[in-house]
Amino acid sequence: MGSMFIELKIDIDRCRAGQPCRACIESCPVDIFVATDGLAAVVADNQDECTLCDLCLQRCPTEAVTLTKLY
Amino acid sequence: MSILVDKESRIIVQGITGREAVSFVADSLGYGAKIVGGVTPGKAGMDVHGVPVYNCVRDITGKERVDIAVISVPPAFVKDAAFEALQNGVPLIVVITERVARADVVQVLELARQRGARVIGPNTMGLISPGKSKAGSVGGPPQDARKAFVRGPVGIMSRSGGMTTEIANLLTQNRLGQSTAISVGGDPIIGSTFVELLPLFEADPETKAVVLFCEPGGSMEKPLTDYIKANGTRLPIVAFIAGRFADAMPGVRFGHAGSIVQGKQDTAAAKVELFREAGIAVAEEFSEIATILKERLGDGKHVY
Amino acid sequence: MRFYEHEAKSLLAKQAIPVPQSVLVSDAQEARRAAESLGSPVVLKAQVLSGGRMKAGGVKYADTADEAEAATREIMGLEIGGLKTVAILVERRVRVAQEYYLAVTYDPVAKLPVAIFSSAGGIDIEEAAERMPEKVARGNFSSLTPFTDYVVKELIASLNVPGADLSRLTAIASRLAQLFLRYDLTLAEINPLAKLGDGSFVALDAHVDLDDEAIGRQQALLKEMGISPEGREGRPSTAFELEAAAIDRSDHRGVAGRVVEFGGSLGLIIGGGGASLTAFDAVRKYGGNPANYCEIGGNPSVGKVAALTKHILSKPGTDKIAIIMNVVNNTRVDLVARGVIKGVVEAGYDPAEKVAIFRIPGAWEEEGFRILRKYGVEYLDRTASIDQAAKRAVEKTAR
Repeated sequence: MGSMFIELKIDIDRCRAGQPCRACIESCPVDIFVATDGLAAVVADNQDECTLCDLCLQRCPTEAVTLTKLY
Repeated sequence: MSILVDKESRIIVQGITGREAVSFVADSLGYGAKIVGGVTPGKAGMDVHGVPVYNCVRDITGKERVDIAVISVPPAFVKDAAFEALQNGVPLIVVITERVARADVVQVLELARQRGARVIGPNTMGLISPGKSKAGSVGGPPQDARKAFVRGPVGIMSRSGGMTTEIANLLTQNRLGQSTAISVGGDPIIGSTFVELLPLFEADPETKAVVLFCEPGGSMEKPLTDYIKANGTRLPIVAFIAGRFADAMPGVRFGHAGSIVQGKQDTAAAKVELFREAGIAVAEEFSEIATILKERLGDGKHVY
Repeated sequence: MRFYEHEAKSLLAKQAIPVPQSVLVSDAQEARRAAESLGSPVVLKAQVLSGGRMKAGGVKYADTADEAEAATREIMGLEIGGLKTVAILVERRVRVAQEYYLAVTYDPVAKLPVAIFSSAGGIDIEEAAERMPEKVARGNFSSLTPFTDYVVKELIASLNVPGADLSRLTAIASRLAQLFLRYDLTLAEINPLAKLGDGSFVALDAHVDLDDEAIGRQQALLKEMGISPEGREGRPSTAFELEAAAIDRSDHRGVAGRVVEFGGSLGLIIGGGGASLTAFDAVRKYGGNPANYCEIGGNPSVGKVAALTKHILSKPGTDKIAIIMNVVNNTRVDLVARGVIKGVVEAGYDPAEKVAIFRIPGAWEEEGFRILRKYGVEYLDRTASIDQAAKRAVEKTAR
């Protein structure tokens, strides 16, 4: 099952512009991001574990991450 | 006034760089606690939320007064940490750590008695004097602690850390503030039991009543009721005894390590009987704690 | 952690406390051979971790090897106090002249070790203390000062034990106290401690509890004695409880899955220690039938709460679930709300219908309440107490 509460998206172009970078991957306390083909990707099953700490949003140098609450 | 911890209390935290400690140190500072130092061997020179870290307790006690040591180290290191604080003259030790071996606990408590010091816990969330200070994790982040705890006339002694906050919340909802709330600890043997803390509340002019939160198991209640029968008390006391269902299931542990019915003496039913004999009101439902307190406190002049 | 009698006796023997000659057996053939080698008469004792063994028929006397074999067949399958007999201890029978009681444990009031001695052995010590207090002596001793014999000598002498017995009993009591201190025991009890016709003493039965919190540092002892801590906890866990425990272990974040199974229709997700007791009592007080007891806390992950929720809903007969906690400081209301709703939906139900009540005030409550509103789940905030929440849950649930 996908996410029910939190949706995280990565804008591929912006993410690419920021490479090399592991900011979101390393800052997330609940492992929502992984590195795939030199870019960050979202682990769909982990999105609902998001603690709303905002670290990924704060640390991404290119503002590639968007967080949407589905409630 | 309040007891054991107030605005002026100078607190140190042993094990300050641990995950739990880092979080409750931030919360405590935000609540106004005066944390003057922390101890983690090998990490001297660091700081945790601005609190300087030292290798040894004496590095702090050697240069300034320390009133309270909060211990949050792994179980195997608790005895050494407590001995260190006691031998360096700290008069109040709060042991947050749970799962400490019984033999270690007993030795710490015996040394504390020899040194004229007091121990709260182990397996406690600590204590809080609303609006003043707190030692330990009780109440959580400052904004949450301020919602649940308000200054006033009721002392709380609770076997359960979480229920310390729940009781304060119930009282606050009923416009009854608290003088000091103490999570005494959930272990079978703890540093300060009800009977050892009651005289402090009696001596505190701000405290006008006391609430007790009890669980099955353990033997904290009998000494308290013996004391009250012998000496009386100026304080109305209201007790709530949780886990009555466990009376029918001897030998099964529910919740805290100490919450296990082992004989006839430590069932919830036996405790209710003891309290009634000693004139302690027993709330049948949790929310009745507030109703009974209001009756016993009289015309409402003590509410906040 | 309780030791089986044969383990307790091996431990006593290690400290030079005399125990009867014995052989541990697991079937009737072995019992016969044991009786033959020990020499009849013998006594056969069920090895089980519960009291009341004698009354339940777990102890039998045999005058011949044939009798020993027959008695073993009767004892071996016995379940006593819900616990299985795992083996039988065949012991050489001795002639008892007098029975004493001896124990060392912790005194939670004095907060010190305490030695207890009685000249009325063989019976329940609490009962003895009530009925004939003049025959029971108790004495605390220091946990800091090295133990020496006079502590127990004074105790035993206070009951006017005759002549040479004082020295022999003192030696045994001293060894028991040292054993207690050295191996992190919380109880070391010999009952009865028998005086034989020739004036010597032997421990006829023994009860030893090792501090659960010291199992780690007593590994060397456990290994040496071949003792495993597994499977000793009260009644055996049910499959439902084991599955819940597996959910708890699957993720280190927080506690969600410490479950005790009951037979009712209202599934409970409650916590922590004290709040679980309070909520469970309240549900029963209002006439509810809990399907389970449980404890959650320590800020469990969303996935863990979801898995626990699904598991509790999977139990046949569970009509609805109630989620009740104290005002939380560390555990987050929103994360528990997400977990519960996710679990309910994944189990194929509508949260608005399946969740009778959600009452967790505290950290991140606004965010949590928003989630609950979106799914139409009835919730209560901090203005409602735990018992009000329990009452509401019971009202909404089929009995």
